[in-house]
Amino acid sequence: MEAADRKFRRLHPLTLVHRAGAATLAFVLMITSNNDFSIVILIFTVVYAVVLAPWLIAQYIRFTYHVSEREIFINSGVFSHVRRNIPVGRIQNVAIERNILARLLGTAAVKIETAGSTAAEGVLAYVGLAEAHRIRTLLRSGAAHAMEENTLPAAASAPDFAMSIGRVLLSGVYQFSLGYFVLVFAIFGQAQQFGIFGPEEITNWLFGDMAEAFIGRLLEFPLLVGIAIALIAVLLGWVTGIVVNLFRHYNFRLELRTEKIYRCYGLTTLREGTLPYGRVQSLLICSNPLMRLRQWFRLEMQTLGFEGGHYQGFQLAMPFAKWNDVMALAPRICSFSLPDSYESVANVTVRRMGLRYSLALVVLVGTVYLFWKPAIWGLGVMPLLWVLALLQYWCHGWAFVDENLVIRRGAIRQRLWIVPAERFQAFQTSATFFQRQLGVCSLTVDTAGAGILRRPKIIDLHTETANLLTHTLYDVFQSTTSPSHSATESRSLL
Amino acid sequence: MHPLDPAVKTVWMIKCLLVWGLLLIGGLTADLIRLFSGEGQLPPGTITGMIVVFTALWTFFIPRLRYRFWRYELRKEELELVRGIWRRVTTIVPLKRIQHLDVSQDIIERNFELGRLVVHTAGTRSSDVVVPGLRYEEAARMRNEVRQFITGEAV
Repeated sequence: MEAADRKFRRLHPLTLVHRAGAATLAFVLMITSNNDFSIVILIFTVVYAVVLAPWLIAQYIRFTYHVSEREIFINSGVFSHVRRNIPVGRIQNVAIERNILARLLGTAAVKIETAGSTAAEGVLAYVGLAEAHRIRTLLRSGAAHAMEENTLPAAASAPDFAMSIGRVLLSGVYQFSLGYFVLVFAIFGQAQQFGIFGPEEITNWLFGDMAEAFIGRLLEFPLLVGIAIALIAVLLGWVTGIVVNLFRHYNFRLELRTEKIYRCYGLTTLREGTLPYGRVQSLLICSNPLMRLRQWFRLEMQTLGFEGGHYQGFQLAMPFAKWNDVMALAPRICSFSLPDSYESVANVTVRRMGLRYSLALVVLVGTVYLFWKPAIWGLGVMPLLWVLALLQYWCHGWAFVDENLVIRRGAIRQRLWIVPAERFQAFQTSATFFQRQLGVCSLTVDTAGAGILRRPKIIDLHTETANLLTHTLYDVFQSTTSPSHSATESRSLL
Repeated sequence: MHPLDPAVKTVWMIKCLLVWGLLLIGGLTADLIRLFSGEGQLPPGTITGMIVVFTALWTFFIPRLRYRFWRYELRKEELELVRGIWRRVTTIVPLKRIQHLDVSQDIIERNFELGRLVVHTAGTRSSDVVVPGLRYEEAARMRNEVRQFITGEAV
């Protein structure tokens, strides 16, 4: 027992505050959401005191860890005991994460990730900050390939890309997302349920008695109210987006070190972590019309297994940067050169997409028409859909240069994928009944860690072109991944 | 390219019946409730009848069509599959990209001595590629062939 105590450490005692903090919050929410103060609350209180608190303490006592240069051991579990050991050689990433409470308490969570699993396999939450750095240094010095970059993180070297607060705010302005608008409404709804505040309370507070008369007048113009509500929703979503973006990307820094990519960002939750170059599967450059007006772009890396699991497969390399900066930095992550011109897909795609959108519109308008007759005017949008189809055709292109497949797609949200041949996983062509009639098909190259929605796909290629391209891609893939081609492959192959 | 084993049609038909059978229970319940509550304009048994007709058509045609368009071939360095009734999909999986592979067999398939080969890659979309309706020995033989390729490559 003596020896074991010397070897194994416990987490920081303030861990209990973290855990209890979350549990207490849940407890408070549970009480407040229940309006009648009754026996239910008493039961919850008893459960909390008798079960949860001892459980937390037992968990804390049972959790011990030991870090050496070769291995990390973690003992955990109250009823079922788990002994986990992770050899240093299998560790892909050691991330230190600090949320706002951790930064107040001077603690940090250490997340140890290995290949093959999307979630962190070893989580030490929470340890003291100094201890967190000690663990990381120890694990890094153990990993032979990380020998030379065993310096302390952050501020040591000049970043290859950094975002000032102005740039972060600006990027929020440009990146509009309806998702936040939904979030705002969800929060409103929740707040209203607790009786804290809601739209009605706010208007009453702002305008007092005037509000009722005002609302009465407003209801005479339903269309105007509709437009106003839509505008307010858009504005709210926009502002929320800016705020969320500020919290997330505050002080974004990226450094391209010799072996790994180092990133650090966040306002309340500071995230920092490293990513070996070998885990980058492909690059993605995105933009929306607003961003393109001023030549702003976003660079993302598609990775295999990811740091903390914040971005599903895609990790930001440059949240907001000018085209020239992107083109200067991106080839250092994964070497490529952009083609001078792109090959177009078959022009029947305009017809197919135009028909598809029109059909969707007819179904939508038809459904609404059953309840609200003026909806029939919605059919007037149809020419716009055909313009969209045409724009999409113009924007869609592909090229295969220097063993990289480059795909450009999207009229409104434009995306540019750069997929190295050595990262291909599988090849797939698909053709629906209509596509077969038109003699076209879609070609997808599967890569590890690609999202379902954002995967590189060439839509509506002529069937012969698709077959030819598949063969070319396959042959290049076979030659680049053959053992004689390069030694990097064994490392990149998971 | 090879077609699947014809017995797989029967397996698929049984599975179709099982799935639609669940819906049939729901339809029957709805019809009985309507019958006893006396509500609804439709004559009794309409929902059940519709489900029965649809199930019959689906079970008769879909497995046959699916079988007709399924082709596979295990070549020296890749596995190629072609399938799909409405959307024809061709997948090529390079053998060197295969992470691990299983041969599996469920209780219905066991009665017909069929098995399926499941191939896992690191890709997202084709992370598990399934070749159903193989003779069990054939599935095992294919697995061995692929395994040999992978281990031979590694050594």
